[in-house]
Amino acid sequence: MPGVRRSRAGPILVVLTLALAGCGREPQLVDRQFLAFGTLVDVSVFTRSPERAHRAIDQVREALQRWHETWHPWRGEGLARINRRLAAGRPAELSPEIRDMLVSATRYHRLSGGRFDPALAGLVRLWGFNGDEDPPSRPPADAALRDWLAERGSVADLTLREDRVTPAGTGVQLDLGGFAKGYALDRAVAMFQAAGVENAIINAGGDLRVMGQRGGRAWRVGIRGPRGGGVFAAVEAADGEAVFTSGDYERFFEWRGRRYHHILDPETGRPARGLRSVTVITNAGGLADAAATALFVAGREWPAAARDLGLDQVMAVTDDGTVEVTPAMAGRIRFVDARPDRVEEVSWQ
Amino acid sequence: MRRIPVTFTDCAVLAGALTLLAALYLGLWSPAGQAGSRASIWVSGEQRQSLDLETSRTIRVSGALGESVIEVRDGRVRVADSPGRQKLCVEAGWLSRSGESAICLPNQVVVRIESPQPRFDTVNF
Amino acid sequence: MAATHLHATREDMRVAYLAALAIVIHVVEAGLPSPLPGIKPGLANIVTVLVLMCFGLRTAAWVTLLRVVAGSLVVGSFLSPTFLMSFSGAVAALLALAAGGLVPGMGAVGYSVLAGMAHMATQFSVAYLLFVPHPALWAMFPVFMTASVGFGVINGIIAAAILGRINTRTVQRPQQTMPLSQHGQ
Repeated sequence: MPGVRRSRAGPILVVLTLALAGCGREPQLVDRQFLAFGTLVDVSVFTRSPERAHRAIDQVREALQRWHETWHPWRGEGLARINRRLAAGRPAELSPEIRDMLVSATRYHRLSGGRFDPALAGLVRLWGFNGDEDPPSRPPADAALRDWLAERGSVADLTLREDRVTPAGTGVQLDLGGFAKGYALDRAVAMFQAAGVENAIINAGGDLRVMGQRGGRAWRVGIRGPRGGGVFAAVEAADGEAVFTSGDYERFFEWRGRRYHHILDPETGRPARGLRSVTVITNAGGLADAAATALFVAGREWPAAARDLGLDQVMAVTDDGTVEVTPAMAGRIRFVDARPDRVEEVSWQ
Repeated sequence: MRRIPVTFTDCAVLAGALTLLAALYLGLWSPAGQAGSRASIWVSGEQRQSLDLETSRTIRVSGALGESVIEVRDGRVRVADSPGRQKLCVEAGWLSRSGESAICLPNQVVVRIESPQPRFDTVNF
Repeated sequence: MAATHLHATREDMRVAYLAALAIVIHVVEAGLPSPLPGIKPGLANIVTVLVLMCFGLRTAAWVTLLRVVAGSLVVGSFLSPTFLMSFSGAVAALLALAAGGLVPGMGAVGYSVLAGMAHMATQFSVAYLLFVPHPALWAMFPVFMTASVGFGVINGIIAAAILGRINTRTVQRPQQTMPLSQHGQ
């Protein structure tokens, strides 16, 4: 039976192929965690060269920790020095990084109709959400809030000429909190690219940017629900994407049975209402960060705000637990275990 | 009626097979689900311990401010108590899925579920 | 091919005949709808068990491997991942049969259950490694193994019944309990 004798080579071939496929240096996962930006930063690199990955992660860690210090609104000699000058009504010189951030942040302020405002340092301090320590236990007095609202300024009141920023009054101080993390992740991605790291996730306290893939498959990102219960949804993130979530559970305190969180509406001076969380996927960390804040402030009006910012992949969890998704997000998100009771596709075209 | 030849050894094999099946259901369908899941405990960015989730116990980890109490039970883990006013990590509740974590920022203690093949590479929140 | 001179022995003929029978069952079964993907009765295993008990492990091995290779050629899956699953399953089943033969008093049901479980466990592992290396897949494992035991018992009883007929008809053949020693070279 010649046919049979020849076919016996088949299985041998298969076994050989499988054995050979295992050769060569296997890419591996380098996973590192460190504290920076007042949060836990988790870096995963999928690489054939762990040594290179570790060196690149060291650089990124060092940069993130440095940036956090220089971009702090009240502490140190970076942004804090600029804020001191602005508070005195005097112009301030900007470092290239802060200038870069201010230009982008001003643009997002305009595109978001003022919902994202990097000039809320005074308000944030009034609420006590500044700093890395625990939040306060009670909201500020109504009178104090009224005063702030009466003389509040916005980032639009600043005039930027070359490296110099000039305030219109004394009411504007910068807090890049809703933007700096995204911008920092964009810079970290650029550092990785320069160091030859191609496949990585940089996750800073839940907000993340993705590079490349994990060994022939997309990186899998789980999204945690805003009221505990762990991961409730998942997406496969493509190269270059940023996944950012703003939620009322990140920094908050409860006072007289009510939750007061850190995402403040510039219009009212109080925590924004209407949503529990907003998740944004786009191609830049800075935009994702600012947009997640702006959309959260927009509350139930978020689809219009998303359109104005040019975002098409958004998921929001409203304060009654309904999950609202844009069509583009609906097309890629996968609900883990059980689909939430109420999922609504929201169109805004 | 012709008798079907079933030997004693056949019956023994069948008994063995049924025992194995029972073990499989118990092993793979237990609440813990993912066999081999472990909880890693990090302090100030360094991994201090790795706990298997099968053994129930309570341990104390000293962090930047004091002791965080970590409890393992029924294939899950949680931070039962930790210094700090917000206690976000305590509020995170029981963790059982890979990639889930409880982060006690003030005390710089992190508890995270690892598994040999995690469902997620990272978690957004 | 004219230069190849083939000498078909009686055993070759027997192997070919039995393999052809197994292939027909294999192909027919491949066309049958399945309640759950991956779960099939494995009726061709009846032939394997019968061949093992009547003619020994060597013949059973030949028949099985021929069935897998030629069967996949007929269905068109030769060297595909499906083939690899089939092949690895068949090899595992043969190893299980060989191991089962070492236990005295093993009957058709025992062989069938052992072969079915080995086949399923191996196919499942290969599927896990090749297609879906997702831990959640293992939640299905007990279900698949239950099916393999169930069908193993059914196939074993069918084989035993057929064996009973063969034995009552061919009175000159004694009851076979040690199939490994049956086939003399």
